[in-house]
Amino acid sequence: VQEATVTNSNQRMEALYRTMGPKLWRSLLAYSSDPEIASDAVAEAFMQAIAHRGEIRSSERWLWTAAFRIAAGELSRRRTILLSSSEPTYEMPTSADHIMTALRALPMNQRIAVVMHDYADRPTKEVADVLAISSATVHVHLSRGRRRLRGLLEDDHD
Amino acid sequence: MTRKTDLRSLDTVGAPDLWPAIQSGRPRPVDFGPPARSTIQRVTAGVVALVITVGGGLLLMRAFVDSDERSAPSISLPGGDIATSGELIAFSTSQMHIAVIRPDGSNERVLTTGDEVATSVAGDVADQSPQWSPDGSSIYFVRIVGDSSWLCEIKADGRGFQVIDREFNGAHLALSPDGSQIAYDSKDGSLHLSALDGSNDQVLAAHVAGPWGGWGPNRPAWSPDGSQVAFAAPMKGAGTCAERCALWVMDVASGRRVNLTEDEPQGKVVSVTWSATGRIGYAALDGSVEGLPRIRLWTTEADGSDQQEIPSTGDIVPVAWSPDGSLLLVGRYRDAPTMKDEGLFIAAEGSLGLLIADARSAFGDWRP
Repeated sequence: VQEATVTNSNQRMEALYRTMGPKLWRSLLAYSSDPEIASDAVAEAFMQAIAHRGEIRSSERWLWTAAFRIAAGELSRRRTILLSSSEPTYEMPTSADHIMTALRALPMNQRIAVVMHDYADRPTKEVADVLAISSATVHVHLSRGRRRLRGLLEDDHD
Repeated sequence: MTRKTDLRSLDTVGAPDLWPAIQSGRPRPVDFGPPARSTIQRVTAGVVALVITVGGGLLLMRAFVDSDERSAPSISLPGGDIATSGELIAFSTSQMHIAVIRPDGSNERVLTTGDEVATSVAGDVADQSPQWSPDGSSIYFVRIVGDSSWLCEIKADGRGFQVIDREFNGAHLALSPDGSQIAYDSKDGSLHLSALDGSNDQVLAAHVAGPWGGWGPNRPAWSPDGSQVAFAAPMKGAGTCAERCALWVMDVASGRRVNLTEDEPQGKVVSVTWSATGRIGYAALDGSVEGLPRIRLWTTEADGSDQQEIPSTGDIVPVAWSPDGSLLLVGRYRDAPTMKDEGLFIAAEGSLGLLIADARSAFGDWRP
């Protein structure tokens, strides 16, 4: 029974990665504009989740918040928060490229809120967890971020 | 509120398969250079950057001016080594074994291997949350085995391992001052109180959630006389700690509990300690600034009065006090509290010195 438990534990973590890993990676890419940071953050979050398995109650929630915090810390360290004029460092479809360019123009908290909530469908409480702010403040960031993003995307289409 | 932005075209971006790297890798180690040899050398040589200001250090010291020393008898260790009160710290290594080390960073000894008892789950055993017995002879700890957790005990000399409870289901353990009871946060999300043998289990409070869906450094803390327990729980007493997490104190006998941070919310409380003189130290996440939140350290009297902040670099949490109250064991994190462990440090006289980098930052206890 115990051997089966371990197998199931490992299988569950891999299944979780297969389910949420690609979306998490794309979200982190949208947030950081850096595929290396996105990959590092996803890998680090999963490795930490495995190492901290005795302390985590909700793996998915923990992984999302942890990965975004790791990426935010790495961005801060590298001081490479890209400006709107910066060129993307990863080849991608044109439609996604437009969105990435627009996202880079948003302040960090607005960008995290929009990417996590609007793209990844994470609840506002989770965004609040990442930024240690209230859900009400997350809604403020969301509203402002969406307005600005729409303006940027419309300008882009014009 | 404005409607969602359509970002579905991001789904067309190809994502790499990182699972092979995850499966084969380990969390990146943090390099702090060679360990220091003594507290004095650590402080004077500045092995680690000055973190807690002199003012903060004085606050810590002031909290223990009248400390009553708990004194456990000396114990003999392998190799003829003798340890007296306050001369050993129990901790969990980064590989999740229980170990002890002297406060000056010497004589580290790993006590558990994970295979003392056959479990058929080799490689999936993790030991954490060590707590000294009042007489300083034994260490109680939590062993995570697969999806369950056990309450275990081992003698300070590494002998006498035993499993006390195989259906413990807790993560962070706090032993009462007289050693008769344990308070712990359970997998069910509640704060439990039980006898050391697991009997008389009762729920003290619901939803003592750690941050981000994990427990994090969320151990409860006992008052010196064992009549009260302090812990982090939702501000309103129910729900989760997703937004605000308060510092609560509960009278064990009556069940009456008080929110000490109701009038002066200091962010999201994530770690609580209680000094021998009755002063409570805790950490709280502050998200009032753009970007990643800081961890701020606070002390308060047990009735919630005289709350004071201890200046710090924003990445450390309190773990345990020395028996004489002059030193504070703290855990340090990189980027995300409860995540990337940078090990255990000792705060004293306005400075922070590395005790050991190869340690989980959430766990540690000073021998009485």
